[in-house]
Amino acid sequence: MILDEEVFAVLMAVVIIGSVLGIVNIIHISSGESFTAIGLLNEDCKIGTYPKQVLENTNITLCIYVYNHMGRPVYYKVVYKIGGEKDLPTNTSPSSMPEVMSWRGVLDNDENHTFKILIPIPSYDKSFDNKTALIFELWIYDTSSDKWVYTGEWVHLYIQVLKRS
Amino acid sequence: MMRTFLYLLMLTLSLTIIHQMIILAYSGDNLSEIDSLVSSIMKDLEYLESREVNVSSLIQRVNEDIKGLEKDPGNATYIKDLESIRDEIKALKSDAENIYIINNIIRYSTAVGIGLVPVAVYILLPRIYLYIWYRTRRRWIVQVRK
Repeated sequence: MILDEEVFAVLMAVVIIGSVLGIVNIIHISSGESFTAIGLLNEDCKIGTYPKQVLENTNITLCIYVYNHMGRPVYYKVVYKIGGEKDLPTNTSPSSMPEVMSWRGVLDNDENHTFKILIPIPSYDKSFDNKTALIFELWIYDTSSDKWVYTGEWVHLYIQVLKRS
Repeated sequence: MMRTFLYLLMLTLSLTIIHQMIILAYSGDNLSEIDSLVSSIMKDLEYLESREVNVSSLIQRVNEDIKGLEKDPGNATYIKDLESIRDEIKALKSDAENIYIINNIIRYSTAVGIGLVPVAVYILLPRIYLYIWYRTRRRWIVQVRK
């Protein structure tokens, strides 16, 4: 035969594989996990060099990073709380401490926001054992139940709050 | 003439009062009113995105309005923009199903087309190869060896 059978078989294999990959790419068969993420950055919106000691009743600047991979747009809020080591949230429950401030926004799927925040460090009678945690929880709005839902994601930064003499 | 003018004046005044009331309703200290307003928009945006309508510019605008309202609660510009987004969404929703059907038809037709490529190659490749093979040798003179 003029066209070698083995060469023809190899060509056919290449074409079939290319065709399957093309179909998968067009139909978007994906079973990706949906998740959100939150990150805490310093005042230059970079990792590292976080403040360690802060004077009470002052403000500090930090940066928050939020990412959405839920497969849909989300309405989110980052809730700022202050507490001690025992007041940290878990994967399932938010911190029991009261909300100090919050920042809202809307993110499209596979989008992220990085924004600067000015956070107050109020004076507390409780000293939290010289290890005050600045807690930032990520909540998203559940449109089916019309409620804010805690995502189970949070970041915290330990600081020492210095009292004014 | 005077009566028409008075009616128009009253209508304008009442519309202004209603608009100011809406603004005041959204200018509460807490952001729960904004949450309820944004939640209805989000429901529609989720629906539109599930129908493959590109809503990224609307999402960006909603985000800017929320950030603006956080800084300046009750600011009429942001509330007006959220209301105009609502109207734009309404218009998009009526076309969403058609867009989704057309997109699906294009997508699956292309997939079928790509799926048929191996079949076409299987049938046509030997024929094309033979055609080219003979064509490149058409001036050849066949001689019987003695």
